[in-house]
Amino acid sequence: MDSFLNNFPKRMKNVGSYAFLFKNSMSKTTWKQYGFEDFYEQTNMIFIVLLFIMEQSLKDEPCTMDDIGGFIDMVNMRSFKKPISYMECKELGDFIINVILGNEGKVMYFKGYDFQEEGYKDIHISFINNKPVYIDDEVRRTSYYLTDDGYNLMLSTLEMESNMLLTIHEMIFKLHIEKASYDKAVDDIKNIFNQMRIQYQRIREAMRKIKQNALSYSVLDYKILLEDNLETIGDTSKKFSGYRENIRERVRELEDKDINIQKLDKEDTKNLENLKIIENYLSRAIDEHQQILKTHFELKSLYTKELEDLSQMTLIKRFNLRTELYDKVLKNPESLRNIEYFIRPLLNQEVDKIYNINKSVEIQKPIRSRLKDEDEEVLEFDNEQWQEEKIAKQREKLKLYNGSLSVILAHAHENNGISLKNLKEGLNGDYSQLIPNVEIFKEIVIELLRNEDIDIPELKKERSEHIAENSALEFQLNESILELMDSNPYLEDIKKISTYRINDETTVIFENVNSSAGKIKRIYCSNIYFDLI
Amino acid sequence: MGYELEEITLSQSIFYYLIEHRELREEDDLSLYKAYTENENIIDLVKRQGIIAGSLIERYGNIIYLIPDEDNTYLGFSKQNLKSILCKSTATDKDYYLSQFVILTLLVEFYDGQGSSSKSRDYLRVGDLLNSVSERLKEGIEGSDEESEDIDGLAFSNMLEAFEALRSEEKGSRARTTKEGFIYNILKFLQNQGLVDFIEEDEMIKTTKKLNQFMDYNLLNKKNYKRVLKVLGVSENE
Repeated sequence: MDSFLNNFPKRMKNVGSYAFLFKNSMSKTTWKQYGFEDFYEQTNMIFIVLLFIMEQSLKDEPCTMDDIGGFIDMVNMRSFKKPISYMECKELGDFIINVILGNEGKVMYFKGYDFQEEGYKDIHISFINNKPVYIDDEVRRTSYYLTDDGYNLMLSTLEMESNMLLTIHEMIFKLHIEKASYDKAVDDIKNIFNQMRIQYQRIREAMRKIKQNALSYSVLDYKILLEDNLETIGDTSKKFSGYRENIRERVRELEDKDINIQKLDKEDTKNLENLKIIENYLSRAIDEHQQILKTHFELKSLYTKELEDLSQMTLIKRFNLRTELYDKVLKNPESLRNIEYFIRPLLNQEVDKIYNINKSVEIQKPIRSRLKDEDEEVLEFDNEQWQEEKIAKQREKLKLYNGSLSVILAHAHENNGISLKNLKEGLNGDYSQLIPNVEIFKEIVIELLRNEDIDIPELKKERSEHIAENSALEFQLNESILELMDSNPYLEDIKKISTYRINDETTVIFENVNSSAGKIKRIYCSNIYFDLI
Repeated sequence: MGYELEEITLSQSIFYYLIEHRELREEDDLSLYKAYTENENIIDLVKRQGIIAGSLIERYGNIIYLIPDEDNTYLGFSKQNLKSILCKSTATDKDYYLSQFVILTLLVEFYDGQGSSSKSRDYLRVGDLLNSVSERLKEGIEGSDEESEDIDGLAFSNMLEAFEALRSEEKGSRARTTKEGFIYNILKFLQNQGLVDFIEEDEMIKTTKKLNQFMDYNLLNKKNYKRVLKVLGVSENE
């Protein structure tokens, strides 16, 4: 056999990724609804979304449909300027994630010809996967992340073999350090660090896959991953420690200079800063290296164990659910009468409880603290305190929401309606109350936009009819509005709040605002009008 | 064959643990799990207790499960129990059979694979499930024999009527009188049983490891094909 065809299936895997991507995207009319007419526009958008997911995966931050929608909205506002609303952006995100990247949940197989075995072989392809996450410890959402194939696809867009990446970045890094162009070296070291993160996440993803179904994880994948691991682990630790020493030395030199000559020129200060950043990243890279080493061994033992467990499973002969049962049921509905017979082994019923009469003479304890009776029998003694702390925290957060909303209402009231742009100007750079953090501000604006028109008398009527439990500690736009109107008499004459986008293509930029994770961010918003009647 | 007193005690502890939790995970109680996996006698004793309690004790992967026999209505569900949980209180049999059909459709959507595992998809959206159910019901109407249509109203046309009679509403409705609410209720139940992960916010259904293992090892195992025959009303001649 011609040796150049040896790696054909491996090549087909890479090609298959692209093929699937285009197959799932081409000739879909959904794109047109959102103004993405041409296939190049569509392709660009897909990769922008993929990059965003990669970024979130790398940072280990959740990536929900809201995040993706928000991101598309931001990119669209800033660059593409298609006339689509936030909700439409979210729908577009949903389409890209589920139809194009997720293949509507169906597993993707690309058939690649294997010349050694003379036949087409199924090659499994998946770009993204998802997992349930808890946002703020409360809301359960689906978070998307890149799979191994996804990473490979994204990395291949920069034309490098994954196992070569580290070495190449490292070489560039070294060159830059030698030439003392530290600003570029900062980028390099960030790249190196990202590479290590990706490797670490690959291992974790592999472990997850193995845990779910070791058979879906091929021995070839395992081999490649292990080799990559070993390469990454190889001599990087020693090299990085070496670099770090080197960098420290230069930092010291510069700092000594600083003390001796009192003043560094501008460039040297900049260099010093960059060098410190590099040192920081190097330390983190070394930590990451430790992590990889640790998980590498965990992966090995896990795979062995799962395979042992599974060796018995492959022996099981199975029948086909669809042809053997489902199709027959479809032919004869009478079979449904006993269908639970088939399903029952899956289900367990709670066993009846027995009342112990001695309970009646036990000393009664107040059950006041049991607001929620679900998951809380443990740690009885500081339960109450914990509960209170939790409530206090919620109240604190609610206060931030109300604060932000009151700024919007007060300014809108003063001017009989105000645009976000003017509101920003009116604040003279102090956004701390309007934007206590990005997430809160975002939620409020989105809620307002979603409601479009809020009819105050209607709300009041509703409130008087329902005796609301006063325990709602989560942000409810309607309640917050009413609460603010109660406590601020001058707002009393508001009858209706309307919020809508102004399509004047201006972007309102807020700089230096906090995110809930404590990072400083710059946010881009489309211009919005808050109208009061 | 003689057993040590210690073995008997351990097996009893394991069995009680299983009655309480219905499954014993390696990470939840390592000592009991080890006792079970490392001692043939204990496995034997626990399985015997299982038989007395009308259940099967099986280890799939690193979890030991207590699986009630099909006709065990104390640890498992009877038709009545299931009906009261899955349907609203005024539900008719039509509604109940519809709920069973929904569960079956869900299983078929997920476990149609022929590879080393029967799992054939990663996730399913609620909307897709809804569509699939009503499509399949229509298919059923076309494909089923005319004669069987009228007996006790157990026909796909009746179920489709019941299904279409449920109101369809925008997201957010959880009332059992809407299509979404009806499905939500079933999914919630399956989630409580540890079979699916259902994320309401994103309308996302994913199967759990437990369901995957049960399907691969148990429900679709040829050894248990007799269940299918029973459901289909075919008498066994083996």
